[in-house]
Order: sequence, then C-alpha cells, then structure tokens
Amino acid sequence: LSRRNLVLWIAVLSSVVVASVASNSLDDGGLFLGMPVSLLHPLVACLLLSFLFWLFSRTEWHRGDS
Amino acid sequence: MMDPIGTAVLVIYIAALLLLGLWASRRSRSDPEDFFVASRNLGPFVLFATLAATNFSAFTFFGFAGAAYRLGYAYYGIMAVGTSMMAFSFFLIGRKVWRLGKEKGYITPPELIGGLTGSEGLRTLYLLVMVVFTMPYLATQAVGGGIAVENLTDGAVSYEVGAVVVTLVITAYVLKGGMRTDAITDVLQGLLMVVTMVSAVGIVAWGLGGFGPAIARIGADHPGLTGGDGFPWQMWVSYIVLWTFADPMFPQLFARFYAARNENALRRSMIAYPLIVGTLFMGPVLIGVWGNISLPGLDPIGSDSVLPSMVAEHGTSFLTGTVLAGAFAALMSTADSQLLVLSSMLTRDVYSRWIRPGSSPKGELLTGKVLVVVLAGIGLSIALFRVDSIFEALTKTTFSGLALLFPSTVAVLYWKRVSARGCISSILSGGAVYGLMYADIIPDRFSYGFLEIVPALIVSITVLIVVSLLAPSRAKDVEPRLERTLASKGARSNDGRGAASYINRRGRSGYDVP
Repeated sequence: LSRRNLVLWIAVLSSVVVASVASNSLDDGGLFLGMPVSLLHPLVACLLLSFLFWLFSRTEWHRGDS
Repeated sequence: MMDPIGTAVLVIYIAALLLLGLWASRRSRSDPEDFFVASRNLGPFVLFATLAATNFSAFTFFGFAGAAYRLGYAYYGIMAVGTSMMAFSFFLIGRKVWRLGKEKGYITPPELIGGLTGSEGLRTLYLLVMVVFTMPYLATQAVGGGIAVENLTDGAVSYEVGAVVVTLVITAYVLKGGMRTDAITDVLQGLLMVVTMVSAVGIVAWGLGGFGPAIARIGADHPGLTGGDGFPWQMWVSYIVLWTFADPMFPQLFARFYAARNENALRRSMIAYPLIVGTLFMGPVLIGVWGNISLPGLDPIGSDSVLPSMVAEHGTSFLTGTVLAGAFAALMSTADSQLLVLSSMLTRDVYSRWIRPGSSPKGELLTGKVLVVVLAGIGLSIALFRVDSIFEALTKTTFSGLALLFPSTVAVLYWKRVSARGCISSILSGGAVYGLMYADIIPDRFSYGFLEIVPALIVSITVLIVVSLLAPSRAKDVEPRLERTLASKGARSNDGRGAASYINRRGRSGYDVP
C-alpha cells in the first residue's frame, strides 16, 4: 500500500464522518420510517464504514507485501 | 427488588464464567507469552469477540444510557461513528504491531515503542501514561458492578459487595489462564451483552406501549432530546477524534493486536467491528432517552443507573437478572483485560527491565500473577471512593490522556524521520496543553468550542513533526543494530522465532542498544 493510497483511503473514510457530522447539524428531530433521524444517520454511517473497510481489505491490505 | 429468580440467573452466569475460564485454561502453557498474549494464536472469531467485549465496558451499559438520558438520541452518533472509525486502526496500527510482535517477541506496547526508537525514556513515558490512565478506568468497572447490584436489589446488596464480587471473579479466571481464558470468556460475555441488550430494549419498549409510542412520547414531551441541536459540530468532531485516537491506545486493545493468529483475524475484525458497534450502541441510548418517560428528574449520578433501573421497572425478575449479568459481562470483559495488560507491562517493562534483568520465564510468569492480585486490590480500593459520574471521569482523564499517544505511535510505525525526542516532546506538550485547559488556566475560549483534547492533539502533532525534523532520528540505527546483535548471537532463524526467544531470554525490551 503506497502512502498516497493510504492518504486517499483515510480521506474517503473521513468523508463519511464529515457527512455524519453535517447530518447532525441538519437534524431537526424528525422521523424517517418511524425511526428518529438522530439514530438513523449514524447507523448508516456505521454500515458504510463497514462496507468501505471490506473494500479496503480486498484491494489494499496486502498490496506491497513481499 | 430482584427476587430469587434474578439472583439465580446472576449466580449461574458467574458460575458459567468460572467454569469456562477453567476449561479454557487447560490449554494454557506456563510461559509469559502464553499468559500475556495467548501464544499469539487467537483466531478471527475469538479475536473479534475479545476486541469488542474488551472495548465495551461498564461505560457502554451505564455511562451511555446516563448520557443519553441527559443529552438525547444524538449521543448515539457521537459514540457509534467515532468508535466504528477506530476499527481502521486494526490495519493502521494492528497489522504492523502484529508483525513486529511475531518477529521480535514484543508483548507490551512500551516494549515495541522503545524497541523501534531505541529510547528508554520514551518507553518509560509510554509505560507511565498507560498505567496512570488505565488504573482509574479499571476502577470504574468495579464501580459499575457496585452500581448494578445496588440498584437491582434496591440496596439490599450494597455497592461495596457488588464491587468486591466483580473483582474477585475477574481475578480468579485471569490468574487461571491469562489472555487465553480472558479471550474465551470474552466470547461468552460478548454474546451475552448482545442478547441482553436486544432483550432489554424489547422489554422496555413493550412496557412503554411499543417502540413507536415510546418514540412518539419522547418527541411530544421531550423534543430537546430528539434532534441534533444539543450538539454543535465542534462537539461531534471532538468526540469522533477522541474515540478514534484513544481507543487503539488502550493498552488492553493494543495487546490484542499481538494476540492475533494471523492478519486475516485482524482484517475480519476490522470489517465486522462497525456492525456490532452500530447495533449494540443503540440499545443503551434508546433506554436512556426513554428513561425520561418512566424516571424523570434523575441527577447525573442517578442517570448513570437509568439502564438497570428501567429494566427493573419494566422487566420480569428473570430479565432483570439477565440484564444484570449482561452488564457484568461488559464490565468484567474490560476489567480482566486491563488487569492482565497492566500486569504484563509492570512485569516486562519494570520487573524484568529494572528489578531482575534477565529473569527467567518462570519468574516473569510468577511476577505477572502476583501483580494481577495486587492491581485488582488497588483497582477495588479506588472504586470504593465513588466518582461523580462515570461519563465525566472517563472523558476527562483516561481517553484524553491515552489519545495523546496516538500521533507518536503512528509516527514510530510509519515515519522514518521520527525521533524519540520528538515523541517525548509531543506527548508532554500535548499533556501540558490539555492539563492547562482542564484546570482553566488557559481559558475555554481558546478551545473554540472543541473539547480540550483537540487543541492538545494539534499542539502534540505539530511538536512531533517539528522536533523530529530538528532532532536526528535514531530509529534508522536501531533496527540494523538489532539485526547485527541477533546475527552475532546466532539467534536468528528463518521464521524469526529465534529472535523472539533470544529477546525473551534476555528479558529485555526487544532491542539491544548499548
């Protein structure tokens, strides 16, 4: 894994966090499908992070190992 | 008050835990590597379970629910997103730590940091920070046990008795098999946590007339608890940074990186971690917020007990006992790991380094076990002086103190120009800024709405870079010197185990700098 790719991946993962922070700022206490939005957007962020970790581990984990 | 059925559930759980510990210990070997890091042989499922169960503590059950009671649903996001993000450290830090541990025989975090930089001073500083900030956290687990027992028995069993029982049980199974029993019991404890949390949410929702009506009542009667208004973006960023930087620096989590059987175990744990965090953390937050319906007007200390109180209010005695067992599982799975890693650090980084250099593996093992007992006693003593609020105590001392080690750790693993002086300056300057802000000597306005740890980390990272660029790095010197030393002793073999055994025999830090 090159340093450039690592920085790129950290930026991608951080964007999920930034999106979650932004969602919180826009959260007016409403419901979506009966669930408070305050609970839903972090849950989506967790699922997205898990998916991105899976993608990362498939593509980058062993890259550069010899 | 909990009736005999609830008490029986709790007793059965503790008995099952002890029996499982006994069973797991049959595979234990009598050497320090097995006792402290399970011979580096934990598979993916056990590693994931023990990483999760270790990180989810009394704070997860009691502190989360208490904070959610006071702050609302948005607290879930603050906790879940940062903790999920932390799993990336399984790659960023865990993979390199695992490789270095396997190759060079490291067992404790200070050994690795000292070994890579060749600095006794940095190693000692790491040791001090980790021990000083982990001890109070160990004590909060016993505090959690005391709170749970006292509340669920309506004071019939005292807080002190709860704290003592938790401490005794943990000490017994840690002594029996070290990391191996620790990890295997974590599997049971992790499963129990998930099952009880799901059950508790279901039963409390049922008692409030259903999931939808409970949410609707909070929306109608406590609108301030439903939106993101209570949390400015600076707080969100602060907590996410705090969890991401602090969690992997907990020595009990760091030590688990050494214990993985292979990288695949770490890789799978990283993928699964956000899933368990996302689901499990929702339970205490929901119950905490809903506590405002059934138990309005609790003060901060009372709100830390809202989860067991809500279960006692709405559940049967069987469920009450089960939830109490789940809460015990959360706090015991953290405390046992803390106990073990503190013992390993004091054994390897103090006893074998300063008191009895070159001590035998048998001597190290015996010392480690004695220290388990001593540390358990100290933790219990601290617990008997109760803190005002678990939440406040943790966020303002333990997490922040350990987070300051993160920049140096990553730099040591990845940056060739990093110097020990840079790391020491980074940790001390960050600590100074944090301390001055915490004591209000630096006014709050200089934190610009963030927690004190954010400016402290900015200073810490800046100092790390500047001092490392100005001061010469020793890291480049240490590794070749280690290799030469090993080669001259004929200790190196193809799989690197020769190096590890040589270092273990030396009873030293993993490097041999004159």
